[in-house]
Amino acid sequence: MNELNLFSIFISGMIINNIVLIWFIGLCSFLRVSVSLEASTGMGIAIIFVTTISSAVSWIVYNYLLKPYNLEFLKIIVFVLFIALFIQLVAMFIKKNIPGLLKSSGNYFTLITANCVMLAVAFLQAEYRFNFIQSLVFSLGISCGFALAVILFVSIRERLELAPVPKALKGYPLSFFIAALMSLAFMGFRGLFGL
Amino acid sequence: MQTMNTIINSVLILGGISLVLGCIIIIALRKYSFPTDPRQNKIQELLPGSNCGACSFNGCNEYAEAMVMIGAEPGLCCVIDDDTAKKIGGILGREAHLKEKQVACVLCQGENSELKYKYSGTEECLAASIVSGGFRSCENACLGFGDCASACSFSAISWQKGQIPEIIAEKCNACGKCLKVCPVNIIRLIPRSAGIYVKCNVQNKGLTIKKMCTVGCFTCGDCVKTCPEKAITIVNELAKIDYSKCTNCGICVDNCPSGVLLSN
Repeated sequence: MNELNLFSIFISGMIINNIVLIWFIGLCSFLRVSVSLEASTGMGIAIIFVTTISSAVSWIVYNYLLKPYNLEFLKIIVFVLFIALFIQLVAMFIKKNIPGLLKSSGNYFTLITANCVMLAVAFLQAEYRFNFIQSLVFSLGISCGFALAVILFVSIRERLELAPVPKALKGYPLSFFIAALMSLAFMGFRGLFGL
Repeated sequence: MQTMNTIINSVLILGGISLVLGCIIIIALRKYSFPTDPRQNKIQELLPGSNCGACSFNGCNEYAEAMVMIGAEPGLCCVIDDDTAKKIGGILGREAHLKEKQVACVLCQGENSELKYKYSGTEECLAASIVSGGFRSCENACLGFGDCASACSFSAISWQKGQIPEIIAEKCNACGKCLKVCPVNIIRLIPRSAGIYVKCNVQNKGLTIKKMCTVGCFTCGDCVKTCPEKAITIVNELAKIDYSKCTNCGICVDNCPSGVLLSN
């Protein structure tokens, strides 16, 4: 994967391999948290921050701790341990220093930060054999893609609040329709270049 | 030998990692532990811990925190009795505004309501209500799948399949969870002191109701005429009792031709 430059890694992570709309990872927080545009923008920023740093942590662990001893098969449990610890620390730090942030994001903070996107990024960058900078850019791209998907999704949902929708489709059914159509649209990017 | 090495290595590395991470989290907890207000712990002990959400906070702990930190009202909890609420108010140094004790009540006797079609889908009121407005011809008829019973945190609703759920008044704390899950809006909170209910919540014109259901309020107005205290009015084609005037005399119950008014 070393022949890809950083820009194409970023674009690939963000759009071509969009984590929600192409890989269908992180759907729980995608559907659950997207209520208002403001909240989901904040959540997107939180996701970008947490995912990028946790990916850096897992890169270091994978390449300096597991690989030298041929213990790649332990990566699931080790990644989970490290990511869980990291999120605990972030949550503690925020609770102590910026107490307003946890309140404004409601109870979603742990949900949004401890979701499967992080684990997926950790696995993918291990699988693609990225170097450190590449894996940082890749996770940045993935998390930006997640934020992009959530923000687009919420904007559509906010518009549909006012539309006359059949009673049976209100709420989650309609959300799934929107997500499916967005996913179809994003599949159009697949022809750009592969990763 | 190779396998042995792998086993030893993985045990060592995993053990080492968990040890180090454990130490990190202990240090972090020491350093970043949030000093909780001692009042909050005291209040938490007084709250019921049932996390019903009637106070509009997510659980009792959050309510206790809100009372201490952002000055939420002490009297919002509907589970604790008045003395406990006053105690909490005392801890906070504020007076507790007590709510009137209420109880939930199912406003339907609708086994008699006619069926529109045979429903054989998911056994949930919500699912049944989505299929063209429920399988009973009355829009406000109990569908009898017990969504309310499964939502209740106090197991105060006894229910058997296909029957109208019964609310056990001693266990009900009027948290209002069942009100929210009922898709046909037939559960209401009424004052605990109330002796007479209007067991119907339909808001159609009289004649249409007579066709659909034998125990529906078809707005004859007999109760309004006979009530000596003038406590009953017709609102939205439905008899409504003003509980501040009602003396539980029971005259309206005797005079109701459709048996919608019931005394306790």
